Amino acid sequence: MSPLTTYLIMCKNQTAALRLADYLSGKGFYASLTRPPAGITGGDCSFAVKVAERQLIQALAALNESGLRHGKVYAYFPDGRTQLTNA
Amino acid sequence: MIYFDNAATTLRKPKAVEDAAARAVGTLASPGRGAYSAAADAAETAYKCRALAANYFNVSSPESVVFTFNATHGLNIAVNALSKRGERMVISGYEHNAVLRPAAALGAALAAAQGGLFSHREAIQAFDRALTNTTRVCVVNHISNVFGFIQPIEKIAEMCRDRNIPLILDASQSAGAAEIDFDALGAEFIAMPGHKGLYGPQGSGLLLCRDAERAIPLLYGGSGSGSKLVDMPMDLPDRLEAGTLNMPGIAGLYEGLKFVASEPRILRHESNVLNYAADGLALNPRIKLFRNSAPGLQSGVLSFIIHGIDCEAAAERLSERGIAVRAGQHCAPQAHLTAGTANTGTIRASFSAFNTLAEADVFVNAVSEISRE
Repeated sequence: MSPLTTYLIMCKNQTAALRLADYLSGKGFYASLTRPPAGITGGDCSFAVKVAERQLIQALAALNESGLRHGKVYAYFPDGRTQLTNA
Repeated sequence: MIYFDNAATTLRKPKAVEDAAARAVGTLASPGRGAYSAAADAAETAYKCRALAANYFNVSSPESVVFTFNATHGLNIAVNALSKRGERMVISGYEHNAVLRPAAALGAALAAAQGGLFSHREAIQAFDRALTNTTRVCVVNHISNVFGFIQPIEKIAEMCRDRNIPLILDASQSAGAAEIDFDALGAEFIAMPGHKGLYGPQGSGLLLCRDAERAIPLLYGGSGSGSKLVDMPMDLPDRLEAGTLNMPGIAGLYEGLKFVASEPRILRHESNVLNYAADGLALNPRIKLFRNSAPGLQSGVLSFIIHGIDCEAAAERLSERGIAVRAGQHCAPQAHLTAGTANTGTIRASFSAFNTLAEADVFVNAVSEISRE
């Protein structure tokens, strides 16, 4: 995969996404709030936390340990395509 | 001006609050409405305010901290969510119209647990009698806006938990001064203004919520999420936040929260100024004070009557001398009924972290002059 591929951890609303991003940042991950592309959301308004590909596994493990819930996880390729993952 | 009307709103704010609110105008856009920096900055500011409030009031997650426009807004949400027409709502004897009016509009069957002023024992006994198995909800004013009476909310909350009765706490006069532990109290909702004891701008407030499923929206509109849904989103805080947030208010409120979190002795200071002023007024036989100096019974709110002088006239004369107080019913007729001041109303002086003993001296002298007129 391209090194510029990122992952979008979907959240139920902006506040939840900010809470996740805040938690992950505190744990040393680079995590930022983003609005997912319409291809994922069906054009609806939604929020996600963007993390780097190589940090994804550890980031999800950290979230799992914290008990903070999140939605689906999508790979977000540099060309704009997205792909639902099994995470 | 000597400002002693902090129970209405704290006029003097920490400079950081003023600066943050002013800065927000022109720099903070609407959170959740765009991906550009001004929207992201707004989102970050709103989140930090929620997170700080969650930490300060011991709420498990920032999502449970809902922004409102004032405590009245929050109380209307809470009362509307938990009350039904004809069903029993237990209140204290000191509730504000922000509770009484929405309850009346909903047709709730009000039952007042009336105890004497400044008596925890009577309050607990009254609630013990009132909280029956037909009670749908209990609403309690933590601190009376008329008399400063600090109600025994820990005990009342315990009774509600034991009897499985949802509790709504009106923290209008206590937030920022007295300790409020949302998790420990087990309240369903706690409503508070941002612009009184939290020293934020007017137009700001917080509603602490326990359960998203019990949160019924009062306003319907854009929430910045789930736009294709016909109904408001199911999750907090979005479920209860329709429309554009008051970002200058929230930015200022964040600074206000930082101020009160760093100043743990605000209530003690207010009580000290009150006791100093009350000691001066007590020397005047023409003045009736509503005061109890025992620890833990009264906040920085002092009501009094000058015999033979209408309370509104007295307040006007104090205003002419550069002293700001409030007079009348204080939007809390129930409190006056309980205390026996429904016919006269009272003059109310209410203190903040910024009031001084020197101001109290000027006030006492002015009241003394007026009482001789």
